Amino acid sequence: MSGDPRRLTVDFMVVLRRLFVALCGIALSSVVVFISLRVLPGDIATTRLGIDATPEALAALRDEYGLDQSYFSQYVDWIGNAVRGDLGTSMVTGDDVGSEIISRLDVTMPLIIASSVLSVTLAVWLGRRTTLRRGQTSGVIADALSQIGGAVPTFVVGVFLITVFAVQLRLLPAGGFPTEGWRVPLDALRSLLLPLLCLAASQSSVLVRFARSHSLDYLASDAFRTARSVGRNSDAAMATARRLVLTPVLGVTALQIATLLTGAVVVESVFALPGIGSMLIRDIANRDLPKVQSTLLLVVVLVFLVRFVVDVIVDRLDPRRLS
Amino acid sequence: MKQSISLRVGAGILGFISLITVLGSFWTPYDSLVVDPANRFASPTWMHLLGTDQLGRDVLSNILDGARTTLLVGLLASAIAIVVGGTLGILAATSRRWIDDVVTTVADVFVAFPALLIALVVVAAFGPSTGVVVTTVGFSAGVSVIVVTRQEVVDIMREPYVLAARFSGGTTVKIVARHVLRNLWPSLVVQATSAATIAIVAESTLSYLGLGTTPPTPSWGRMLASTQQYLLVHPLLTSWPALFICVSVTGVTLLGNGVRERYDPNLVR
Repeated sequence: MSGDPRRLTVDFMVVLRRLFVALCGIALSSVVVFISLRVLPGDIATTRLGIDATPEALAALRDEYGLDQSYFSQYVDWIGNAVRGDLGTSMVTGDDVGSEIISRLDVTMPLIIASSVLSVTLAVWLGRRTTLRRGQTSGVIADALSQIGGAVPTFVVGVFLITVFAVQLRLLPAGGFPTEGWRVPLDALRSLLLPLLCLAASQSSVLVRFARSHSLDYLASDAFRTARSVGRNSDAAMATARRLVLTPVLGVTALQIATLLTGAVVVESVFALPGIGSMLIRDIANRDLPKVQSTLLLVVVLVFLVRFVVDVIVDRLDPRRLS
Repeated sequence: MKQSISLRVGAGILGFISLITVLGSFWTPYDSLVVDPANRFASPTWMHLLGTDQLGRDVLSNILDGARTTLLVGLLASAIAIVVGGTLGILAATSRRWIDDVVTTVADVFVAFPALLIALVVVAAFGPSTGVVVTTVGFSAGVSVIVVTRQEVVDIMREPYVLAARFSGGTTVKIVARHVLRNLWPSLVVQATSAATIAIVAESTLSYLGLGTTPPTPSWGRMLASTQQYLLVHPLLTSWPALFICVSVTGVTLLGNGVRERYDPNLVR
């Protein structure tokens, strides 16, 4: 397909179009984030200092964070600085938001990447398997397990894992992250293992529903019937569906990336991990809105970037999408 | 045709949850808010069927009361999601190109935000409440309903019988009413169940994080959070709300799967 120059142009145009959509998405969502944190009764300074604050203190805070300017120039300043890598400072501690986020990536990044890989693999396998063994005991059990798994909220899974592996079996730490970070790789890995399992379990139970539904579709397709009628047994015929099931699951994963980040928020809170998610919860509780705003901008950028990359990959995997 | 087990079990569980909701609305064994310091952490007895919590409150009464929150959150959020998402989805699939483009593009952007994350932002702005959770989750689940419904309707509109209806002079409105809705509703039910699932999980999670349903309204999520610190000594206390959350979500999920298995004519059995 790379031999045809016309096809290559089409590919390039599709990538360009997807990039354009991603940039529009980032722009639109940043406006939404900006506005939704300003529809408050009162303003950010009042929220932070409380209604008893002196007018002088309020004015000083508004001046420091540019809150006395128009929404438009506030927005332009915020985005302009963010593009140059300056995410502003915390209203509570005065610390630089960007550097705190970078230091917390140590926890959040490995957590997210490892759990996505684990959950996609698990979901595709389980989805195909439960579909194929639908009538049989093993299929029903696997199906029931994945359904029950999907019904357990992430925080319940977390509490359950802590009870079993940390309290009863005493195999892994119940929470926290070594202060030395990845300089003690074994300890860091051990403290991320339970959160990782927790996040992957809740994530794959969402994905397995899609994998299952697409496997069911495949089972009803002519391709499956043909594969069966040329003498392949149903396992072998189902193997053909791997890519067919993987592509929609990958697509859903792209849509789910923000869900994954939200899951990380919950998991980091349950396991007391110093990640971006637990930081966000703390900032919301502290009403540190400029910091919440910048953290969400980063989440938005990450979400659309991942969706862009996965979309391009799925275009490659699924030739039907381009025709 | 084999009756779907999922459908039966799911409907059964949902019936059970509705039953205890109705029961809990009219009668509970004790007032769910009354504390009894002398009778803390009581094990299940005939007096207190599920025992008492860290303040001596009757657990069964709190579970019964909390069922209402869970059921209402699920029902209202899925109703919002289906009405908003279904209407816009059908509109996008059957209207002029530019309407489709606008709806699809906006939906594509917002579908990237999960209900829980949006709810967190809205809670940051408006403070925690059940209403905020229901509304935000309803609308954000509605966005994914738009995307799915639009695709389903586009597929249905390509079917030969829709073409035939067109040739015999059927207007778009008539085709949607006669052919599209009839083929769409199993998908809408499935999506309603998934919206309800998202809403129930979101409510319990936010309540667990202290950002959802506020006291004195009972909530299984908050019950779980408040008993978690006693997990090592009184694991049973934490497991009741956890069990009921999981059972109700399982019920709704099974119902959705059952509907799909029962009404999808393309499914081989």
